[in-house]
Amino acid sequence: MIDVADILPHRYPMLLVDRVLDIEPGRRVTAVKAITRNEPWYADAAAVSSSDGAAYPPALLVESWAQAAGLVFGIEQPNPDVLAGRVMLLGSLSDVEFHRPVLPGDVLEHRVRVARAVGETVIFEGECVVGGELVFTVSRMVVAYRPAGVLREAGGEQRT
Amino acid sequence: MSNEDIQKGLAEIVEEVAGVAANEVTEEKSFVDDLDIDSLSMVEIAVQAEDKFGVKIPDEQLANLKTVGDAVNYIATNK
Repeated sequence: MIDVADILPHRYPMLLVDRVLDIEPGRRVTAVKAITRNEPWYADAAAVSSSDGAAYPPALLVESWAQAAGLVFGIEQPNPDVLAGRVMLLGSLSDVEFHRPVLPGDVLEHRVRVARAVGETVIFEGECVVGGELVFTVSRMVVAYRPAGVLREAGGEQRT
Repeated sequence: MSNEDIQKGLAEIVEEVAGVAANEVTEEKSFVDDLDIDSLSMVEIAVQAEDKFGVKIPDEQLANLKTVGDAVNYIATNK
């Protein structure tokens, strides 16, 4: 079984993919994440007192989907250490449409496909479903892969 | 579709993707030097142009499209 923590550099509480169901390296992936109340974004009790307040933050839904996208190329070049290797950078997200809220207990199924890959730039597309119902769609996510060394130089101060 | 129509369509894409005013997108302008478009946006523009004009822009060709005019001519000859 593929362990996503061997591929992605993210860790608790920001590792938002649980399991890979199906993957074609360089082409597509289907991955799942189970939503639970036991996540930090639900720490404020007031926020979970109503069903509306328990809706999972949409930005994190997209983050989770984007992490699944990271597996498509990451599976062939795992990079659990963000300070080394190639770093996946988000360039832009276009036409993201949300169709239904996500609540604790839901299991997200992310479907991510490579629409185009040119050199170190990749455009992903796809959707997220819960129990067959569409949660959101992403028309285009543009991502750039850059060597970590280049980014550290550009960033000036280095982490020790 | 005339070259003028292609340029207009392309300018709309460039405006949407890179936030460059459509009237700035004229034939003699270089995508990188004049319009300040980076490699990421360039790929996005190419993909949208393929959809809009029904043309295929191969990866190796993308690097040759330096100016807006290059892109317009490429689309006009290959669509």
